[in-house]
Amino acid sequence: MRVLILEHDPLCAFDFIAALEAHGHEVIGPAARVSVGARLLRRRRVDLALIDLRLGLDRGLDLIPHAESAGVRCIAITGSPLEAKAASDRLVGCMPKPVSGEQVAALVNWYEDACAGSNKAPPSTFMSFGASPPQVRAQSRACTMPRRLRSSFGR
Amino acid sequence: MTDTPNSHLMAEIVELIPRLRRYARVLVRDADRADEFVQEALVRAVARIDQFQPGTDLRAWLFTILHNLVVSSFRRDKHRALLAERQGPPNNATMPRQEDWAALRQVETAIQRLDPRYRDLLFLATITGASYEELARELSIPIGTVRSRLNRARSHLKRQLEGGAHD
Repeated sequence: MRVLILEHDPLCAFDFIAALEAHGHEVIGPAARVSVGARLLRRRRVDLALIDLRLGLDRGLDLIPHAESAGVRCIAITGSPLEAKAASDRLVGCMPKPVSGEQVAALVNWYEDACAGSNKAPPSTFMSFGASPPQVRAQSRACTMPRRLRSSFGR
Repeated sequence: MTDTPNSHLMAEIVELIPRLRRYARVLVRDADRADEFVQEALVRAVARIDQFQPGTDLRAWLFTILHNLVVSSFRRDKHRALLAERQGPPNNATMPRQEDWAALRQVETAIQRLDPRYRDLLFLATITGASYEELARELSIPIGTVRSRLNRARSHLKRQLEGGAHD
């Protein structure tokens, strides 16, 4: 999957990037400002956005309209899950911090598989909101091809 | 939102991560090892963020931290290898002769005497095998500067080994 990371902490961002790439995903960004994230959403094809809510300079939730315009779903990775819950109708869900890169990669793997029709349960710390993965598949342009086939056909 | 005086710096650091990784991969061909250096550089940068001088170039500051980590690591590896070689079991077929050791020490001393700008570039070009283009792009200096600094480094080294001028 092509995953946009909006994250303000350099060490978290690096941890997420390394783990996602190790699991075969492509990282877009990272961005630490909504304006940068919005620009990446306009210019690059993104399948999923992982957003930190309390950025140093901006509110992560402000990226959601940009993601919606691009047809991209968002998952909050945040130390403020209550804030995420307040926007639950616009988020697939929330994974509370602290969280490791491996946990984030497991979440993205689950999301991708769920979009492809799997009924596997999400990681235990993930709080599902709003749209369920099959609805995500119906509404988003993401995840139209199973991960194992994608390399054969190009993304 | 947690807007602190360092918020802008932290945001810039996050957004420089891809460039740091590219630079590390020029210096260290192994991607995993390169990432270890980047991670260590980020840890240091975040820990020392208060030491960054406002108004100076954050990118250059970060790249210097990364560069120094890589160079120090190469030097440690090189010294360990030399030590292991010297302390290893005697093997008359491969043991260098006394005059070879003397020549090696002479080269090491000559390298240490070089201007750090030339020394580090020579070291990186030799150890990593990076091309002029790669070094120029990642150090943000013109390719002509890379070429001329390397030429100067080599000729200074040659003169020192021949017992010529000192810089």
